[in-house]
Order: sequence, then C-alpha cells, then structure tokens
Amino acid sequence: MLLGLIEALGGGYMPDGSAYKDAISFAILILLLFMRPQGLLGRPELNSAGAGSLLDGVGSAGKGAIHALFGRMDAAFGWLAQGGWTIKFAALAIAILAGLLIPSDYWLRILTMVLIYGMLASGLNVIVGFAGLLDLGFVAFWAVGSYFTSILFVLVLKQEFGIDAQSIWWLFYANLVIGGLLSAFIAMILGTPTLRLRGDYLAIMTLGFGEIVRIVATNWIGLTRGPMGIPNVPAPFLFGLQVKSPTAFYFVALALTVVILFAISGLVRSYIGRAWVAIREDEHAAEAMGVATARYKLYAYAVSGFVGGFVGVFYAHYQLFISPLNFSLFENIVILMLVVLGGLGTFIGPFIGALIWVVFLQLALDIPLVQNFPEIRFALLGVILMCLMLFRPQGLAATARVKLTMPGAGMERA
Amino acid sequence: MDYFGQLLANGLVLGAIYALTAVAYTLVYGVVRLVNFAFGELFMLGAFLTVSLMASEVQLFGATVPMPALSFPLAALVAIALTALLGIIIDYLAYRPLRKAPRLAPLISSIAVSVVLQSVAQTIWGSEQVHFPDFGLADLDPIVFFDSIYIRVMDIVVMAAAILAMIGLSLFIAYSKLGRAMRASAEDPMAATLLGIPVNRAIAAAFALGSGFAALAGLLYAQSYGFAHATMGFSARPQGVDGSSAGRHRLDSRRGFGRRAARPDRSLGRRLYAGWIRL
Amino acid sequence: MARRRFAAAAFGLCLALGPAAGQAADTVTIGFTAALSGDYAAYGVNMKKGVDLAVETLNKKGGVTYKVEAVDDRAEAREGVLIAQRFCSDQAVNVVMGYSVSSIALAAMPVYNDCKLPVLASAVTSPALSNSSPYFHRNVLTDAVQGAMMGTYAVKSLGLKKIYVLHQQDDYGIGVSKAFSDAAVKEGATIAGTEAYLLGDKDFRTLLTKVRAAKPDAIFVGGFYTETAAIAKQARQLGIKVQFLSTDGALNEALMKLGGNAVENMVIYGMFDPSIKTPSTADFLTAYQATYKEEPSAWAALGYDATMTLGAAVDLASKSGGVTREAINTAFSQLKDVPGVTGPTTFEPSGDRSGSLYFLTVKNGKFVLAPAQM
Repeated sequence: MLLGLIEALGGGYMPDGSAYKDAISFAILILLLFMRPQGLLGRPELNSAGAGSLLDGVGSAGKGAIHALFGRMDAAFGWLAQGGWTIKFAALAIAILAGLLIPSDYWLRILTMVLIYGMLASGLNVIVGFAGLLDLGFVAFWAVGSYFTSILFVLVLKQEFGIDAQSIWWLFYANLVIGGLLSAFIAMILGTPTLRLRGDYLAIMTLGFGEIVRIVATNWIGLTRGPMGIPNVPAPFLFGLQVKSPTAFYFVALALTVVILFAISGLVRSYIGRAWVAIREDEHAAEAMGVATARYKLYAYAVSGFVGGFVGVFYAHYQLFISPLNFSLFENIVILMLVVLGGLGTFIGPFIGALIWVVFLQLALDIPLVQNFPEIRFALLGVILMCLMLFRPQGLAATARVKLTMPGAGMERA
Repeated sequence: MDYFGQLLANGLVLGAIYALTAVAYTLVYGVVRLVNFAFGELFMLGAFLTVSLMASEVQLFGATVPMPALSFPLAALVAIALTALLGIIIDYLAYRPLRKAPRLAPLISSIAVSVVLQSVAQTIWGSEQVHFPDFGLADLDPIVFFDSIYIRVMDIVVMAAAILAMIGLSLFIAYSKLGRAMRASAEDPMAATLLGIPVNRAIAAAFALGSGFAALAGLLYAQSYGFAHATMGFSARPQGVDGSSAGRHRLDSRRGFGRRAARPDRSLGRRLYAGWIRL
Repeated sequence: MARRRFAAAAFGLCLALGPAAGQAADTVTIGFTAALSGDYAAYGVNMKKGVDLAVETLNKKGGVTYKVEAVDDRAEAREGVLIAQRFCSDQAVNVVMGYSVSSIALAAMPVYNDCKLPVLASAVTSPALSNSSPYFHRNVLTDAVQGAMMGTYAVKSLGLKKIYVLHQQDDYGIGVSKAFSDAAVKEGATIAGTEAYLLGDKDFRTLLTKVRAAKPDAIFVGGFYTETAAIAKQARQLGIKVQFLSTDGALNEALMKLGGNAVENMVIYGMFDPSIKTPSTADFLTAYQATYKEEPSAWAALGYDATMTLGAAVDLASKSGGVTREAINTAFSQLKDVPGVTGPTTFEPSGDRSGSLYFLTVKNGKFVLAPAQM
C-alpha cells in the first residue's frame, strides 16, 4: 500500500513524474532492500532464507525411452566436456563449415541470433551458473554496451562532428572493449550494494536495477532519443570492407563467440573460477576457508557485465538500430531461461538453450495452426519448456558442467 | 491541500489492490519459496472469467457459447473458485514434480506456465481489451471530500473488499487448522511431515488460496479500471507499439512488495509454529 | 508425455513443409508481419483482417492471385531482422505489408534495402522512417503533419485557448504532441502543461489531478484509444469536465466501448470516416461487417487500403513487364490517387503518403463528422 502511495505522490510532484514513476518504485524498492534486506517489518536472520546452491537438487529422470535418450545425451555431453582441443576444434570447424555451406541467408541470420543470445547467456552464466548469484538485471549491461557505441557513433561522431564511420572503422573494435569495460564498471557499481543480499532478495534488487536502466533509456530523450531509438548505426568495417552480408556477420559473431568462450573458460579454470564455485556451493564455508567472497562476487559481476557490454556493442552494429524495446525485462527472463535450459555452469549449455529457443520460434511460424492462431506459437513454446524442465530440471547439458572439484570430492552428488 | 489530498486518495485505492495482490502472492511464496511468475496470469484470469460469466454469451473460436449471465458478486465467486482450482492443477502439473529439483527449475516452469496461460487467454478472449461491465455502484456520483477530493463509491467498495479479504486471510492463517498446517510446512517441510501434517495438501491449499486471492485482486482491479486484457497480469513483456517501450512492472513492484509483506506473516508464523511443536 | 509427442510431431511437420518453393508466375505473395500476439496484438490483428478482406476481394476480381503469409513479430525487437531476412530469402514473397511497431520496422529496413524488397507499411508513424529506404512506403500519415493540422483546427475552429497536453511516451506520442503544441501556440493558444504517460498505463488519476490543478479548457491526448478512453473516464471521475481532443490513434469503436459516455463530444481526427458512405467505403463496411461481425477499426481500413493499393501497383507493373519486387516498388511511386476507404493514396518520394484529414467527434456513442472541418 505504501508503494501505491509513494508512486502517486512522487508522480504528482516530479516533473514528468508519471513517465518515471515506475523508476521511482524501483528506486524505493532497492533502497529498502539495501537498508533492510529482510523486509520492512521482518527480522534480520530471515535474509539467510533462500541461501544455498542454485544448482543442487535431484532431478526426476523420465522413464523408458526418454530415460535412455537422456542417458545417451548425458554421456555425449560428458564426453564433449571432457574432450580436449580436438573436440573444440571440431566444433569450431563445424560452425565454420555451417557458415560456408548454408546457402540460406535466413538460416545464417538465425544462427547469428543463436550466437548472440548464446554469448549473452554465457555472460549471465558467469554470475548465475558459476558464482551462483541470481541476477535479473543482466539486460542492463547489454543495453549499456549498445547505447554506448550507438550514441558515440551516431549522435556524437556523425551528428556533432560529421565523422564518417568508415574513416574510424577501428573504433568499433576498440568499442567492443571500451563498451565492455564501461558495462563492467557499472556492473561493479550496481553489484556493491547487492553484496549483502542473497537468493531471491538479490534477484529482486538486480531486477530493479535492470528496469531502472531501461526506464532511464526510455525517458532520457536528450541522451538516448528515448523510445524513438537510434537508427543508422553503421555496420562494422574490416580493413575498409564493410561487413554487410549475413555470412560476414555470422563469421564476426562466431569470432567473438570464440573470444568470449576462451576468456570465460580461462577465468573459470583459474583460481577466480574456483572461488566462484566455492561461493556458489557454500558461501559460509568459502568465507571460512579464506575466500574473499565480496571481492570475488564483484569480479563475477564485472566479468558478466563485460560480456554483456561486449555483445551489446556488436548487437548495435549488427541490427543497425537500437531502442529500449530491445532491452525489456522479458529479454532478461529469456536469457536466464536459456542458461537454465541449457545447463547452469556449463560452456555449451547457453548455446544449446539459445539454439532451441531461437530455432523453435522460427520453425513454429510454419505450423499451419500457428498461421491461424498466432498466439499458439508461444503456448507451444511454453509447453515444450515445461516438459523440458519437468524431465531435465538440471538443464539439458548438465553433465557438461565444468568440474572444478578435486578427484574424489563431491562423490555423493555425482 | 486538495492536490495532496487527491493524490493521497488515489494512492490509497491503488495501494489497497497492490497490497491484496502482495498478500496473495506471499501465501505461495511463503510456503514453497517459489517466485511464481504465473501469478499474474491468475490475476488476469480472475478478471476474464468474471467478465465471461457475467455475459449472456461468448464467442469461442467463432462459435457462440451461451453463458449464465450471472450477477457480479456471483460471477466473482465462481471465478475465484475456478481460479483456485486452476491454481491447484498448475501446482500438481508444473511445480510438484520439481519440488526437489534445482531451485531455478520451478522458476523456469512457472515462466512457461505464465506464457501458456497468457497465450491461451489471448486465443480465447482476443487481443483487445475487454470492457468490464459496470456494476451498479459504478454509476453513482463520486463522493467529494473538502470540495475537491473525488473518490468513487466503487473505489471505496474495492478498498473495503481488499481490506476485509486481507483480515480474513490473516485470521485463517493464524487460527484455522489448515492455516497452521500451511505455516508448519513453510517452516520445515521435513519436520511437518514427521508430525503427520500432509505437506503436499497444505501446499495445494496455499496454491488454491493464493490463486483465489489473485483472482479477487484481478477482478477488483478490472472493476476499478473498467477493462480486462490478456496481458494485464504479467507485464514483463516488451512494451510498445510504434517504438514505444513502456513499463508496466506493477507486478514486479508487487512482487517486491510481496516479499516485504511476507515478513510479518512469517515471523508470526514462526512463533505460532513454535507453539504447535510445544503442543 | 502426450504433449511431448505432439510437440515432436509439430517439429516434424514444419520441417517437412519448409519454405514453399516454386510459385506460379501470376501469384503475388504478401509477406505480412505485425504484432499478432502479446500486448500490442490488437493493432496487428485488425490490420490483418483488413488485408485478408482485401485479398479476398482482389482474388474474386480474377487475374493475379494474391496470397498472404503472416508472421507474428510479437512486438519483440529481435524478431525484426529475422523476419525481414525470412521474407528476403523466400523468393516467392513479392512485397511486405503490416508492421505495428516502428522500432521493428526500423531494425528491418536495412535488410529489405539490401535485398530490394518493397515494404508497404500501414501503422508505423515514426518520422525516422521517412526516407529510410527507397523500398519503404506507408499509407498512414506521419504524426508531424497530422498533429499540426489538429493544433490549428483546435484553436481556429474550436476556439480553445488553454490546452493541456498528455502524450504517450514514444515516437508517436512525442511527435504528434510536439506538432500539435507548436501549431496551437502559433495560432495564439497557450499550452498549460505537458505530461507523458506510458503505453499500457492504467491509472491516470495522479496525472489528472495535476491537470485539474492547471485548469485548462481542453485536454489533448496524443495516444491510442485504450489509454485515451481510460483518461477520459478517470477525468470525469475526478470532476474534470473540459473538451477532450485526441488523435487518429483513438479512432476505434473500442473507444466508446471502453470509455462509455465519458468520451462523448471528444474531437479526434482520422483519415477514415466510418459514417461517410462513398461507394468504396460502403462496400468495405458491408463486406467487413459480413465477414467479421464488427465495425472496422482505422487499422483494418488502412490494411485494406494498403492491399488495394498493392493491387493497383501490381496491375501497373504487369502492364510494363513482369510482376517483380523491383517492378512493384517502381509502381508504388508512380501511383496517383488510388481510391480507398481512407481517401485517395499517393506516395511522396520520401515514402510517406500525402493525404487529407477528417475531423470527427463522438455523438451518442458514434463517430460523426465534426460540424467544423478545415
């Protein structure tokens, strides 16, 4: 009731208040969570509710044929995850061949979208899958990267100084890093107040941050052109050649995917990754063992923010237009869904999730029933998602989860 | 003064409905610790079912189906009961098998349920907003306080209904046998099972109650604003025709609010649960 | 289990179907895309009804056969590029119609530009789309032109002096309100204040309390009918009894259904007057009511007209050679005054439509032509 009151009053007294009133609600929510994480009237120890690993738990295995199918799939993923460089190169080779051999531009676009969403999901996976922090504000980092490069290229360089994108083509590549760093920086700022929170409280707070970023992007028209979006973002150039065809974009996306995966896997296998997994499995034990949990949590935010910003920069130059519509809360949920669907804490999972999601949505367009009742498409998707979750609650590629435990440890869960 | 007063009045009406939703939401969250994304759809269904039950006929896939044309209070009750039943079915199909699964799995399946319900509602009731028939009280002139603060009679009814429902629920949770079973299941399902409390039935009851209250909140909301819409519940959808990207995260605010409203119930629950053990 | 099998069957089915290959030369395939599900489905669904009706009419006439392939974009931005590429890659598709969200159209235009596929949009009004590509046309007027005409009309013909502007926080609302305010101020009126709201908002009491304090003699709502109806209704509940003005976004029968007697006397504008019975509108009205058992909305009328315009373009193109994507696009820019239910259609070089407006008012729950026209 308080929220309704404050919303009405804030809306009434602030200039342009009604457009920002949702932001006001969220700001208050965040402030309250920060001051009294256990709720306005609750008691402090309740904040520990919802702690514990996000990954633990028993999955119900299906029966008969399904069981066998999943068993074979588990074995395959387990084998893939353990495979060395050969497997990785084979996967890369298949991806490259796909790019060269698929004649349909449409399918190349679909695969590019799979890679983009796969990369985003990988970024979110760092924080949710490896560090075990449920983050619902990830989309904000994606938005920051996209807006950063679009504002720089279109609104500043092109409109203020008349500089053509071709003459400074290298800036796109620099922006990938700068946009990533900017997002990482923002992620750390946003991450700091959330350090005290756990579980669902954390999710709500990050959700608030994510929405505030989007609401600001919608309403700060002077900076972002608001809902009108930023059109004519230049396509990237590679040594004077413009990346234009779907094939070219696919290969750029593939190259970026390799970079991202390489970087994340390097980090995860380092002591940082071990610290994340320790926090994920048991924060108190990790702390007791001398892991500086706050610092490593911030690292996780920074890395995931960097990936978000990095992909955001590419996304803006791929779609050549961005608007706040791209960064809705639903997108956020979609990305989280991809991670969970594919398997938390795996490298391949996010891409499998993205593949299912994007490809199904496109294929479903051709089902005759969907032609007559367009709403059915999402109902079907929902049913499939539900079935996948019921039969594979731990994610499709769960056996590919990166094992960072010592041999012999964690046997009881294996 | 009149400016502030009017804002205060507006806020109270909005706040009463939010609070009712929050309480309903909390009921399920408190017992199973599940962020139930499908909650908003139940909110929406409450409104739609009421509209349909009040109509004399509805168009379903092009066919005309006769409807009972109930009066508002009766239609509301039937809609609440139906939604409560749906809540139990959803729990049985989508959440119960996942009770021991990793914590994010039921979250995702609740998103899936939400997507399915919304799509189905849109198939049945169409994508346009549906006018919510005015109940007799809506035609009365607004009551004017201090010459300048307008409150509709209907809003007062809505507020009163919301407050009554909340008080009733608190009493139920605090004193009824089922309410105590629900609290016990919330505190420690294992211990509750050992004490012979049918935990699954208590959870189903929480789903039924929570869903019923969601339906009540939904139909009061629709009554207050005069329409029902397939996406009125879960609005975490990309927003915007013509480039707009608007925000309707009421539910999320509510969700956050629910979390806060959850606290007194649960600390109360803890005390009473301790009492239960001593018995 | 059964659901699983069903889903698998659905997968198999659509793999088998694939994109339709091979088309008879005298078939024109319309790729139609708009939000057909989700929050903003209403506009797209109505548009599609208009398109379907027109296709039926055109097919009855004989000659070229028209076919619609509908794709739902669900108002999700990421779909824009994919759907555009889908139509581009499908050689059977000759022209793309629809679009209910400017952001999605803007994201899709670069793709269409590359594959030279003409687009005839019906409901996207963003000024950024003007000149966005030689392959872009739309048969809806842009906000800038319409808003300015309404501003002038409000002051000169209705004699309003102090107007409060409320608008939807998006390119449509901002564009139309800015044009309206500029024109009204130029004619000597004052703008008592401007406030934005979000599309999908339900509660305007706070906003209206603020409006009430400013004591305007008219309120202009730059937005769509759902919010306009809610604003009018809630304003009456707060005791605000001034003249309401709105836009073509409010031109929908649902305005009266949702707003009841609160929208009585509201003045709006539109390119389509349902009460005028010219031969073409009369045909359209009868056919539409016979098929869908409801009154057509402005979006249905625009979808219908767009398809009829396409028919004219195809006729023109087939006279001068084959019906190709390029030929249809050329024909679009050559068309002059194609008659339609929303008035004659002619495209400007920017791809926008040049056209005129009707000013309408609500009397006894029906749209009628306002007493004063410009």
